Amino acid sequence: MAHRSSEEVSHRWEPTDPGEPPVERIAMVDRRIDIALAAALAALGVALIVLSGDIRAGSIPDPIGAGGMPRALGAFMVVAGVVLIARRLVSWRRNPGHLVPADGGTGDEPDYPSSAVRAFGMLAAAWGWAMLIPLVGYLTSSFLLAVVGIASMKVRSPWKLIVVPALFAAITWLLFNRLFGIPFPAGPIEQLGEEYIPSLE
Amino acid sequence: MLGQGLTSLAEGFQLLTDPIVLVMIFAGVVWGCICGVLPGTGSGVALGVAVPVTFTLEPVPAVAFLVTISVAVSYANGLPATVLGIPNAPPSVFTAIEGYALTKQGKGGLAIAHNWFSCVTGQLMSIPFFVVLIVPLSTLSYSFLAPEMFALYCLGMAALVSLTGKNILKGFAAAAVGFSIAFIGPDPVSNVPRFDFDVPELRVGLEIIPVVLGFVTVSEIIRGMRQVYSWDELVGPAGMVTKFPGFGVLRKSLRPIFTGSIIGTLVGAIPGLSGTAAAVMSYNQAKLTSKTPEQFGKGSVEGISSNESAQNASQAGEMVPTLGLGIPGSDSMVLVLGALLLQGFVPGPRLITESPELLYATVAGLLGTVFYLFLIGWPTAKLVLQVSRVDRRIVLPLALLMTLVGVYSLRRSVFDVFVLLICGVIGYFMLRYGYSIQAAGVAVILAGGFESNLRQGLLLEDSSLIGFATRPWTAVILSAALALIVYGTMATVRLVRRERRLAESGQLPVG
Repeated sequence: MAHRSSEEVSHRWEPTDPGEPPVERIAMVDRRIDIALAAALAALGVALIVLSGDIRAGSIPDPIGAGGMPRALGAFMVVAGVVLIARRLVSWRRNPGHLVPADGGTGDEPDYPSSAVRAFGMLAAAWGWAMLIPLVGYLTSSFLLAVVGIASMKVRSPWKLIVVPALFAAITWLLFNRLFGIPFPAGPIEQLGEEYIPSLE
Repeated sequence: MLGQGLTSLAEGFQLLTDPIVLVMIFAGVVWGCICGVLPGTGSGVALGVAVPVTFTLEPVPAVAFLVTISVAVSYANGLPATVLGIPNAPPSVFTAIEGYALTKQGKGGLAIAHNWFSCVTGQLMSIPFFVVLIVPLSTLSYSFLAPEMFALYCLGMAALVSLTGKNILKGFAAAAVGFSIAFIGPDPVSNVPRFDFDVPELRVGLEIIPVVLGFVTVSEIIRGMRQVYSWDELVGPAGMVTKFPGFGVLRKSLRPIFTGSIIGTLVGAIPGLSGTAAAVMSYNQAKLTSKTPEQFGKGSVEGISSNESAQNASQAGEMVPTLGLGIPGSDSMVLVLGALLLQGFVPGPRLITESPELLYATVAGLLGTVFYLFLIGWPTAKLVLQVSRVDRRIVLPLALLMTLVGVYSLRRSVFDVFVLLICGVIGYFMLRYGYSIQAAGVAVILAGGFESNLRQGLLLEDSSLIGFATRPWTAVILSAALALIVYGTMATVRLVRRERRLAESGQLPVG
């Protein structure tokens, strides 16, 4: 993307009168997902109420009890979820599109395409890191996650894609394992490293 | 009490002779400055990535390190605002107006110098105010029993939710989500298991750090990974930082700096208000009392000084409720409290009275930051502005990896990493859709104390809710909490009306 000057991007902060602070641009979100989140909130509330019925009484009797707070909070969550859904539904017809102000939510930078798939793909890769680390060791799993993450951000330079992750994995291993003495699962590379690099702990 | 305050200052100074403390403060200044300059990488990510490093440190250097990062982020936020006109955080908006106006007039050096001088002087002035505020507060908590403690927890939650979010209902819903996660594990009063679903890892409850880091840090990183761009595309090239104008010129700003420091510390000490409110109040006060109010908006050095001194002093102010009452003064303080938990401290109103070394470490962190920023703040300004050239596409994945490694190294537990990621997903949606992740994080930390004090307080009052709520201090504090909720509700109503008005005028859709 071509370089943009600070003036061109200043619309992230909407201009107002001279001397007055600019106002941050309002983030827009999909109202269908907003409703789904409110429904999830209400469902969590129902679950809290139902499951708190299984909590057994403790040996110290108190007026609220071990299940009292979860029940009260569950009831609040149900009410809050329903109110939030109702608010969106009441104003549904006023707006033909599904994009609505996010009530203080954080939006994307304007003018740059965004991809939720990339964000969640990175989370899936992080989940994979946690599964892999006991099997292949810290260095290999961390190197792989860094490569996947950087590649997903559309970096194609071999230096940035291979050397930076390798250096990062090695430096963090030296820091946490050799310096701080925190044991990580060891693969073949770590075993080699442990043989030649003494722990400074 | 005066003696205790002086002791705190003396102990803080003495800690600065410890080489490890000095090294950690220096590392905090560098790391905080780097994160402060990068758009979207505020104190949440700066502290989130740094918290794992504190796992192996002693409590004193760890606290000093985290305090320093928070202050350095606040200083560095003003640099791109001054030179490039881009405020990385809301409190820097006025700095962007005044500083960038000066930069456009070819007086970038003057603007940066005032920014630097105001931060350093404002921070220095805020330290005695911080000690003066926190010592009596922590002493007062000795006379508080469970009902008063519960009221304090209520006040902290109400303040944070009412004042930081744009939709108070979503703010409380977010806090409820945090509470429901904290319910997992043994009941804090009777110790019976709750919501463990016969999963062994859940029987003792979830570790707080993975939950809070998931909400506050992972959510922000993965939100950032939605988009591919470079920071320098967003902020432009680092602007010109010309020669230092000299202390004679800077001395003229001492009045707005002094006033800004007082406002910043006092306002920052109110949970939920923090830097933005302090900066706005200080700027407006400086404008009202200035001999040259017509300069405001066109490149006023008084405007920069009042704004920067207030927002930096508010960092010390935020420590007052965080350490004095165990109630986080801002979102970044949530992570500081989480890190304290790791060090074996119990966040709550007796944090400082039972662990005074935390107060000394905080004073050392604040003093050390002033020392380093005084020495290297000016050249650092030049250097850190180059940081925006670092490839964001590499930094974000590595920041996530660093957070994963930190959480894993906590207990060598893959389960904790899964908790981190799940909370990251929940936090991502909350962040995008206006549910306060800070409120959720605070709720996770404070839930145990909140519930146990309520229930034990009722036992103390023979199950009488009226007796509980009409204890003098409890009534006063609960009334303040209620007032904040009313204020927050009115703000939400105003927001809805404003959106509707904009929608009716065709400027904004409403749904």
